[in-house]
Amino acid sequence: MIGLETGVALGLLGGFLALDRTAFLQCMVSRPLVASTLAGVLLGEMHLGMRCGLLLELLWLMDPPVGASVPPDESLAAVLSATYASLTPAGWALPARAALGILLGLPFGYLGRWVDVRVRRANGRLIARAREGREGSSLGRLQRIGAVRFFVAGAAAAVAGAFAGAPLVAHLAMAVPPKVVAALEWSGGLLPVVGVAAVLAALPGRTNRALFGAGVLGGLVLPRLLAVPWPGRGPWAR
Amino acid sequence: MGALRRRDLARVFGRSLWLQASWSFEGMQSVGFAYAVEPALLRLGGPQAVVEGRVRHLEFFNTHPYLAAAILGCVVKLEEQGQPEAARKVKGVLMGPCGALGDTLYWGAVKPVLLLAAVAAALQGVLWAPWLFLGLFGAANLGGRLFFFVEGYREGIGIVQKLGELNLLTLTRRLKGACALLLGLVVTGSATGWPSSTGWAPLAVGAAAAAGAAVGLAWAYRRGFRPVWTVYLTAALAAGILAWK
Repeated sequence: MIGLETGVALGLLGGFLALDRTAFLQCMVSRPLVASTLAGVLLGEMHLGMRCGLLLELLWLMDPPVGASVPPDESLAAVLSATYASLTPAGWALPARAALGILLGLPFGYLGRWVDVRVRRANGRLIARAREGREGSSLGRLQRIGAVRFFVAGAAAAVAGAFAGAPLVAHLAMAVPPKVVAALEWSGGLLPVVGVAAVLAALPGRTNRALFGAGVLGGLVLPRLLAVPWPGRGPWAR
Repeated sequence: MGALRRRDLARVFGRSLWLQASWSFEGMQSVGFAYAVEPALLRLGGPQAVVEGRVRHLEFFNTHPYLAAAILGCVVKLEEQGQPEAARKVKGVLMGPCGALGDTLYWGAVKPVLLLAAVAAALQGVLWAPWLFLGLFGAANLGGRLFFFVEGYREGIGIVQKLGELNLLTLTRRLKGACALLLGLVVTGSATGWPSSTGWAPLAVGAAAAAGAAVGLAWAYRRGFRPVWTVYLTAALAAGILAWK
């Protein structure tokens, strides 16, 4: 289960990530690879957080915010995937734990987008206030209001998701039969390919296809030539 | 009141980091832009200039948040030269091209290439891969913003030509090629992590199967199939196969 301290820490992380996603700096702490790893650090499961993060990263890498479009909230999905994965039994294989976390955390990306759209709509009223130029509506104050809204919405969504989902995940994880755990392990191993395909779909053209093929060959040949472990053979990959 | 000092420019640049703090569908980055330009207006014309400038700069504005620094630098320069109307117009003219350039360069190339490198390293078990990504991307983000702001201020309206001379689209194309190469490495990495793939031949077969599956799925995604559906379908398929066995 999730303790109060961890819940508060996850909330602060969620708020901070929501700021980075839109309001301030966009230094990409909010990308799933980083966000999920940070959540993993908070939960004492950094490897697991990183595993969830890299799968989600591939899935949403080519889904940037362009114009008025609001992409799914990948940071919220990443934090909650790592949280849910950390609640699965430690005896399960890492890919199985990550897969269950992602299967349960992924829909929160869409819930997060819904929340994000509401915040952006509410911010629309700030422009009218700015144009009226009333007392107490300095641009600095309006900017702070907007930023606080992003932070509070991100924090609230992370806390609500963590506390609402935690008991469900804990019960579900205990009830899962071994065959399903094995299936989760399989799918956890296959998910990077799904993510790679999502990125590849955004890289059309003959040159890119040739370079992709060269990368596949390079991944096989180079480690052999350099006498280093093959990618994916890291100490925690499985 | 008078010419802009380095301190004023630093304040404008600092505020530009909050460009999207009150992002909305109505004005998008308009409040953030007006907020960022305020210190310059205050220095140039006092409180009255701020009030007048607020009206001018609260117009709809949306561009890439990093490339916005170039427009901001240019606008500040034009305000300093006593051309407020030109400053207003240049925003409207530049926001589209800067948005397209920034989206293609940063979101479409720099971010993917650095993240794919980090993912490839993470698959290898490199635990500091996310932090390395943050450091490298942070340098590209802040370095880029500062460069664009300084050049925008230095060149004024000439920033249009300057951006063209930088040949950023060629850089983007090369970075996308690097993305494709790294993607191949990642797909091999994911396949070599499979349980049955020990030894050279099974590894090669595994990598080829993974690459083939990725190409097939990419084809389906281009035709409207959603990657998120595949996540759940993969899990269902694995459960189905194991139940049948």
